[in-house]
Amino acid sequence: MRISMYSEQEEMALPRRHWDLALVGVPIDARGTRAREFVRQSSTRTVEVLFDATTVELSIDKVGASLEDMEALLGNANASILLETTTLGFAELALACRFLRSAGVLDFWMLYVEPKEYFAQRSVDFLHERIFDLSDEVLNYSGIPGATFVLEEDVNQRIVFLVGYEGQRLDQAFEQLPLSPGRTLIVFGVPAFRPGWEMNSFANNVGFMRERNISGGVSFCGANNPAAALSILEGLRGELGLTERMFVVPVGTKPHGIATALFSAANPDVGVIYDHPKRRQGSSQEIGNWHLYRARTK
Amino acid sequence: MNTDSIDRLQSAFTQNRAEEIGYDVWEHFVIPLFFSRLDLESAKKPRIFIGGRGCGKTMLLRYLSHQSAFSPKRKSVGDDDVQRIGLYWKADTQFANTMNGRGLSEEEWSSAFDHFVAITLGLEILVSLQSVANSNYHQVTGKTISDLNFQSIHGYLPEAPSSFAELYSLLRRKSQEFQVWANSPKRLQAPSFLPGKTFALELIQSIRTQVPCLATTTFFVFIDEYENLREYQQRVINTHIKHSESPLIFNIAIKRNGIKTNATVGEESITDIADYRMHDIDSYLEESSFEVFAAEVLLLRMSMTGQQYSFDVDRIKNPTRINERFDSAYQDVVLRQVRSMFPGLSHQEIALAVLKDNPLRKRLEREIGEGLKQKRSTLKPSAFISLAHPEASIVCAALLARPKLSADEVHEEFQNLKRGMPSRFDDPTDWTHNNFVGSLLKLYAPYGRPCPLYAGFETFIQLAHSNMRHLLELCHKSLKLMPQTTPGDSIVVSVDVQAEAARQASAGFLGEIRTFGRLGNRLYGFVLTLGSLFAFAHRRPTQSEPEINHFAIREGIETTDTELADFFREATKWSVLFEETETKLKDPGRPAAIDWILNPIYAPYFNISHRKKRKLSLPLTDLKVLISGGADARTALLKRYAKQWDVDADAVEQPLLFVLEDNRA
Repeated sequence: MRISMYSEQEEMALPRRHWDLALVGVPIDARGTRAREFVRQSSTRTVEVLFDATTVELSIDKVGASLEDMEALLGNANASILLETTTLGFAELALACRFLRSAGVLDFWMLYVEPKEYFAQRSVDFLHERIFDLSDEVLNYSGIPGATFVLEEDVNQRIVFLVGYEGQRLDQAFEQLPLSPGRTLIVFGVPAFRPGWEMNSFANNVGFMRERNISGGVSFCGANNPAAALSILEGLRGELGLTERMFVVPVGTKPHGIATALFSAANPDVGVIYDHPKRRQGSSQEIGNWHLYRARTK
Repeated sequence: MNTDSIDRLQSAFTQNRAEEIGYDVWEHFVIPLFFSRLDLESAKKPRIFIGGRGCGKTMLLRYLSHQSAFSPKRKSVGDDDVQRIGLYWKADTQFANTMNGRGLSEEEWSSAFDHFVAITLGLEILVSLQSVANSNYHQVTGKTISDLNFQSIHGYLPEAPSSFAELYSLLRRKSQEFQVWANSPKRLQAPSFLPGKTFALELIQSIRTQVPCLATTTFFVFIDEYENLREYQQRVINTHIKHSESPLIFNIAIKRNGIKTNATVGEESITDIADYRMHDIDSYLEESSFEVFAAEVLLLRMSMTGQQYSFDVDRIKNPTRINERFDSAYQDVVLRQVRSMFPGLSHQEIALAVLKDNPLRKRLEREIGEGLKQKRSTLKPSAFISLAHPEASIVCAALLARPKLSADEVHEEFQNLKRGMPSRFDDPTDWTHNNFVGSLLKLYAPYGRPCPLYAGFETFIQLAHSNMRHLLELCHKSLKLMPQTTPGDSIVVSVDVQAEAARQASAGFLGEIRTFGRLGNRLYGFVLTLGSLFAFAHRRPTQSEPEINHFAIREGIETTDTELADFFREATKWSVLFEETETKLKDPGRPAAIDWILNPIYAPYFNISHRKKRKLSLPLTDLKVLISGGADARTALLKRYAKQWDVDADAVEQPLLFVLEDNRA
């Protein structure tokens, strides 16, 4: 899998501006609304996809649909496809990547619009935390259909967390699931979208890492660099022993989620675990860089 | 005590969760004092264990399961012990949650889940036999297991080999096959589903028939975190509970409010008493001297690091010796040891320390001076301070802030106290007793220094509120903050260190609230704002209603308000709030309301009282702001109360209002 990355400050400067089919999600802020509008203008057909983790069901353009419907939608190997990842949730993204691969679509695009700022409450000095209420409600962790495996005691786990600002999501996973802290690798997004933002991620996760005795290592790759994140995942996959199974938990940036989705599509024996947060309206403010990623299967 | 010893001691508490200890908790487990109430010896009915996070449910279930019961560390295992074999199952809910929708009906998924139960239990039954064979029970050996023939289950699994090892491998393959199918249920052909309980029963029967010492063994399934299962999955388990009888009995552990349904897959429901016995672990801990139990756990942990203590390990690990632990002489010995490690100070000692501490004394004099100035009195602050009456000295600042009391009045009563004459500082008015804690907390507030009120093992017990994990963390933090060498051989953690540890632990547990399930973020915002509100109440100059730290809803909750009801259900489920029936009815004609108590573990962070003293009657509109208001609404609410209570909100030290301001990253 090869990922080409293009970053511009404005959408007009992006190197490609037309696709046959685009998948979008529901916008929760100005960034998502603008991304979706760009896609609508740039694509012959735009389809909204939403995955409901509670019912494990899909909707396509607000009508109940099956996974097979989504698979059929993406089944034309000759069409140019764009996944608008600013608005698409991780589950929709993961499903789309898997269906594209199984349909033999070897070349497709993904759009991601960075936030310029995140909604943050003032840091509480005593707690030494930076409180980011990005999620309103968080479900229990569950798998992604097609990439779900039992966390078994007699199968050695190798867990990878791609973390972001919300450290409690890391803690919640260990609270809810039988994860092995000694076999858990934490990946931080460094460099961050903005200089200094990585401190938020460190500050909010380090306490939980210490308390849970997570000792499987720490890695770093650019927060907006899915290629680098994919490289880390592929590297770990290559080291797995015969009795080991890998699980990936993408609770960080969307570009890292993109890497996870692509990796999962190419490695159907890897488990993906996600908590499907209900994102807070307006959780990010103003629009940062526009990123276009092109994924090509070798 | 040297650095090595202290290091080892500090490591005694790094594992505060059962999950960190592993499945074999034999060495770490202390029989709880309520153990005989569980009536496990003669258990024939299923058990439902209810308790909050940190109450010890998981530890208990793991203790009852085969990995601990047949631990290689257990020196003696007899025939009686193999009559009950426990199977612990923490359902992998990330997998179980995806078993829904995708073109299959709930009925189909129900059968699939039951098949998953069958495979899981089948594997666990086989593994439990290995535990028995590897234990110090000599009637079951490796050869016993390898000689087993499982031909009798061919009706369910025609392809099943007969030997133990091959059957185990087959069940593992069945598990993998099932996982692959569950990922694409419409695309792949469903495997032949095994009937959950029936299959397990057949396996058990086969074992009982072939191994004489297990001929009357009952297997107990202990399902942990049941509340995370989907509703139809709970119905499947409820069905097994309803029809539980020897040799297979299902039991579950849940957080409060964790049962989504009492229904089964048929027409019936499960009901308390008829179908199961409910055990409320939190209540049992409160009723059965949590302090003694906690002290025993502490002493055991520390003795595992090589420290010598005066207590009998067998007594705390032997269920038949529980009654000995109710003896008051025994309890005195245990408690004395732990209290000497974590000593507290009396109110008088704390007050005296304040008067000898320069900044605190100056602040007290300043507050007294402000009160005198307001009353245009010519008296000096020193007239209200006496080393012989330190507690009374500290409450004078609050008394002088009260409009209805003149400076001369307070001074006269203080003089009477000094002369040993009747005084309102004493009974029956009891100014000192009623106002000391509130006045002290107010005095400490601006400094960011931890208040010594939060030190002492007895105080730790109150802060922990029967939560063993909280208690262990308080002790752990205290030991961690100790100097690396101490004089003498015994451990004594200073009051200052304990108070600082309480504050740090409190902050840590506060941060954890965001991980509390679906509404974690909302619960966190609620506690921050409510705690801040209580902190403001504690800053009232007059201390006319000191130590406000719980609330009641003025109008009660309408039963139709589902959002509020849901919030309170989650808040009690996660022990953020405790629910109690109103204790002091101001109007006997009115039905008792509910008092909502903020978990006392958060008290040190907000510098508020941890004792249940006075409550705030909150209007519903204010409550809704606390629960779901935006930052502006919360700030406005806090400022309104601050003004009402004559607290200067802008002068209040961080991090109260500070935490609610928007900021750009």
